[in-house]
Amino acid sequence: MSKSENIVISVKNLSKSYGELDVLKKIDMDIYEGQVVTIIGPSGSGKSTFLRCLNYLETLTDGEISIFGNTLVGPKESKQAAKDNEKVAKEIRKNVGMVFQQFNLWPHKTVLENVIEGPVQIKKVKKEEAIKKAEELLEKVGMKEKAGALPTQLSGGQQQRVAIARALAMEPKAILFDEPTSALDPEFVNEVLNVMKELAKEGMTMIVVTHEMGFAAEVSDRVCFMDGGYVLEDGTPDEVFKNPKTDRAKQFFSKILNV
Amino acid sequence: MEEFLRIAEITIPLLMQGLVVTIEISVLAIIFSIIVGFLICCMCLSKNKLVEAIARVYIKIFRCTPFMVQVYLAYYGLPSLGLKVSAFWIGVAVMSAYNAAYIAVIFESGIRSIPKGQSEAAAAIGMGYFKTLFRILLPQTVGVIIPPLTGQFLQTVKDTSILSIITVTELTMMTKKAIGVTFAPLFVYLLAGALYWVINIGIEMVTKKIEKKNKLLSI
Amino acid sequence: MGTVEVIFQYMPLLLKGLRYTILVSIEAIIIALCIGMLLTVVRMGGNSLPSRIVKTIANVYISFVRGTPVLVQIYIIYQALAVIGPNLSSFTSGVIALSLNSGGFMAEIMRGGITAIPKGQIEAGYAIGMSKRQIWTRIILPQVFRVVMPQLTSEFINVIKVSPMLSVVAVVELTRTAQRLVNSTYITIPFYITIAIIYFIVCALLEELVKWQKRRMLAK
Repeated sequence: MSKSENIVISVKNLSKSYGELDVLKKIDMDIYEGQVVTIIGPSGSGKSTFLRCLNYLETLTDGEISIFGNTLVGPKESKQAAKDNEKVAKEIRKNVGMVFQQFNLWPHKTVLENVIEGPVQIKKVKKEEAIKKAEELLEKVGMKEKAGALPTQLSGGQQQRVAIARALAMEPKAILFDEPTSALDPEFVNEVLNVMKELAKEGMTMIVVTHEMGFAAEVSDRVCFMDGGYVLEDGTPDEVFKNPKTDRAKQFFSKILNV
Repeated sequence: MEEFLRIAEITIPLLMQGLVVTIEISVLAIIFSIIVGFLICCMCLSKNKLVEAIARVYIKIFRCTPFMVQVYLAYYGLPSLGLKVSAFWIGVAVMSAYNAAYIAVIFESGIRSIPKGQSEAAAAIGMGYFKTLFRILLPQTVGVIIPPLTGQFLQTVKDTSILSIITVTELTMMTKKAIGVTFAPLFVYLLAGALYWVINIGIEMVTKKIEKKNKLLSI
Repeated sequence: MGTVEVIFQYMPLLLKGLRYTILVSIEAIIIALCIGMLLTVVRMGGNSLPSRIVKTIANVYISFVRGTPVLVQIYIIYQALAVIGPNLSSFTSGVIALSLNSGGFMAEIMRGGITAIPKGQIEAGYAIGMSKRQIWTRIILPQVFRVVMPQLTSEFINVIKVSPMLSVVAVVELTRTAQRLVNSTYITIPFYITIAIIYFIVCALLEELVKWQKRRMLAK
């Protein structure tokens, strides 16, 4: 089920709780280079939290995450561990891009400025180079002619395509997608999915939290079904969709397919 | 240290006298300004353009001139109009009129923040203007207007200090009196400041509690 | 000579008073902005013991400024300045008093502006590897000023409306000028009405500016 034997993301025993509430319970997952993994499940199942733990937008309560050789550890109350994690997170974020449900473009910057912000400010790329690269990327997501526009002048689908370009501008080795089409009007969903399909074809390692079962079935190499903080199903789209092992997954699919 | 105790001994009874007057004026002004403010708010919501315009002009005048100038005008103006009342009541009157302008705006924006569908639904079951206002709109605005209303009450208490310029014997006036006896201006002013501060923090804490209760209700 | 003529005769003096009102207010609002930013930076500080102490001081300062009458603050600052810097002019002391007051309100305005920025934008910054400092300088601060612009103008209006209180400590701004004229001409109400109109014009114009700023902000 893998395109390569190279494990690039390795999650061991990951737990996350907010006070009394356990959102993630001892999750283990290895992701190989070039794999496209979709994570599906009902809302509140912990799938977004899982994704946000990967680049440390959420702290870990317990367990370990290794991404391209950088390892986050559950701090277990130690302040030093939290500090170390901050440092590791910086390295991880250089390698891993993220695309958000609400796009989160910076409204005071134009489309082009949003895309070059990372390369220029973080990677210290020369501005002219960054612009050249950004224009290529905007071309790729079909947004080149809007380079000078402000985010608020764009439709949701356009904003999300810019957000993908912004993530790509950092030349990430993997990209996390947090429900990238959930905030979009239906007519704009496909333009975003198409860009993502393109990336998948090029061999980008992608982890996608989504409700788009079509995308999951068609594009991903691997589907994980999460519920109640556990990964209940993990396999190829065929395995998970056609022969789910758990009742929870069967119920979930029957509900969705009946809609 | 002994010196401070001596000053405090003289000062505190005077300040307490002033504090009582400050609280009296504040409470009266708040009550009157809620009544007047509500009326002006109703005028603002009126369909009659003239009525609305009068209310808007009232609000504009009181909000766009300094309160201190209003106090002077009331102090010299009201008696010449034949209103022979004490400085205390002039103070209450001008404070109420001034505050009403702010409270009217708070009420109005609270009512306007409620979706139009609410009053349409009320109209659809045959409710009249006042029923809609009192049974549908106002209960929903409570949560929205309590924070700004609290702010306005705090402001009222602070603004009473300006009435010292027209010889109302409220806290700031009595502070000056105490200074005249003790010759320790900085210390006595700080003491007065502390008193105002305590009242303000007190009101804030009470309204925060009310707010919490209301939040629970509205959810 | 009729009252109206007398007032027009003294109009240049009143306008000179207005100039001082505006001067004092502009200087105060600029210093207040700096104080407000300083307080904001301090309040956003970390959790180490020293920064917790400074944070507490900032919070107490803001609470005091917001919880006590401006008039009392003006008296306190005048008395304090009389001890610290007895040679300061009453104009300078007035600027200091107003800016110390307005600074506390500025800090609250800025905090409001900062919390108005959606959390997702900050996360997007972290996601591409920005440091805390970069998040502040590249994402938060550039937007805060745009968001709070109308409130800054409103605060300027407030300062103008508070400035008459400086008359009690002998700053010859508009209200103090009028009081002097009242004392020398024995014409009372017309002078107070005149300055009320002058204040009204200034504040009403500035309110229009606030409205325009709000519209422009919403349009973006």
